[in-house]
Amino acid sequence: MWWSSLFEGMSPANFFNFSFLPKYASFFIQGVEYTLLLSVVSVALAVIPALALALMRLSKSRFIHGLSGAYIAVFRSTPLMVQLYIIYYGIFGAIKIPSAVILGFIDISRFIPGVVALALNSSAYVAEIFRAGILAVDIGQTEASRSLGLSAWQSMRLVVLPQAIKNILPALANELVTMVKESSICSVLGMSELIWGAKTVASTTYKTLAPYVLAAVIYFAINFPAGKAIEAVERRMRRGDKV
Amino acid sequence: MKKTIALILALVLCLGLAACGSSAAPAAESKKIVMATSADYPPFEFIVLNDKNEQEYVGIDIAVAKAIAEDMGVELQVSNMDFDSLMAALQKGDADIVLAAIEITEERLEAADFSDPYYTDYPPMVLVKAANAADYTSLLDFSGKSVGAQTGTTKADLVSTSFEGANLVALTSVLDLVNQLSYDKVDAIVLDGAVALQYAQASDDLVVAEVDLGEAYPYCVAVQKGDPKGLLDGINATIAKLLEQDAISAFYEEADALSDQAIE
Repeated sequence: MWWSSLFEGMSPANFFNFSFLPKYASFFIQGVEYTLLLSVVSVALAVIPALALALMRLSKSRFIHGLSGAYIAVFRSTPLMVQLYIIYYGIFGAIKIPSAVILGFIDISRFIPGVVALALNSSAYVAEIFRAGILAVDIGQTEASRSLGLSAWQSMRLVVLPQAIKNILPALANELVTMVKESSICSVLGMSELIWGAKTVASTTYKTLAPYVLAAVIYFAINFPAGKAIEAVERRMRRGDKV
Repeated sequence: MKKTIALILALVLCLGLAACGSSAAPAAESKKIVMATSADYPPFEFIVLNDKNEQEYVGIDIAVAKAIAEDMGVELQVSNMDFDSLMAALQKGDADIVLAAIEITEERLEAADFSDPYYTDYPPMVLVKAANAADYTSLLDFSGKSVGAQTGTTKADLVSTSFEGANLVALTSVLDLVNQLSYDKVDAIVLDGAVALQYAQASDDLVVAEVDLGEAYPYCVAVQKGDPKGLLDGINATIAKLLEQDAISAFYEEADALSDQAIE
């Protein structure tokens, strides 16, 4: 086989010893699908709770403000891995999810706890992003819309939020990129995402570095274009601005 | 100008200090042998708290390694890590020998050299929850169930080849596997015979299923490919001596007794 002849004589610890590829490619392909599904679903699920949390944080009521603050503080001050363990064994130890397989290899009894943990964690960070974006919109906008007779909720929904989106987008793109990388933590619970695939290939073939190098290249290939795409959307939104 | 001169002089002094540091190292090197293992595997290697309340590595593999180090006249240093990092540590040179209930397989032979066998275990066994034990009497009963095994071990290969229709859940640590079984996240886990017996003994919830998984393979000591330090002759001599004296069964009994206190 011409492919394996490329790597003949390479030490197993070589960075570029990709001789495992044709045979073990499925681990990486499935890993990419799992990682993408995990991170996109988590961030998508996190957006509505995050918006709610941000608005709660901005409220005048001290109780609501404090409640939201407590949630955000807890999820930002504890490691994601600990949160994952507690949610997986604790909460989903009590709630049993039947073991069904979607898309041929994704076991939902593991996928759902992973998504829930990632979404809960992500919503804390995204809430802060939303809050910063909302606060960055000039207070004059709220004043003007209120004086025109719009209610608080209407002015938030129709005037402030659309303008806040421009401020929020770069940070949100950052969060998505971070979530793609953080989803690798789920490998400790047996979810077969990309890092789990790389680890399994490395321990089966004893090519100790190259699978991780391949995983890094794949992560880069996912995150870099995503970041660039959001940059393009953001540039389009800024077209009308003076500066 | 003055500042630049002062900066350059400072850097030159640092270089001088660095040179001092490196020359002291080579003298202290050769008096010990580093053994890499994954100490979550009673009775082969595990951690207990000794009388001084310090963590100590004990187990059959540790005892064998100590005998090897003694015969070579060097000190033994144990380096604990995940099972799937063991071969990498060997290749990198972080470890001189690896004893972790390792069987010889073709792929492992490409990455390292092995000594003569020092112990043959019970065949691999399947651990299930006591409540479900009656359901599992043959390999076919695992079809559609999730079965856990450790990444990079022959047990994981066993699940993929012999357990028809089962979903393999591969995890790095044996403790995670046992945890997942206890919390019903997997239906069964496959472990080496002696280890499965230990966990079944230690916990009322877990029992060994009545399934036959064939023969067991012997364990060997792994050294770096090409054996650059020439350790294999010494290791094989020690192993021959231990097998003659039947010392390994004594190690097993000792380990059995201690494993109630295993903290990992």
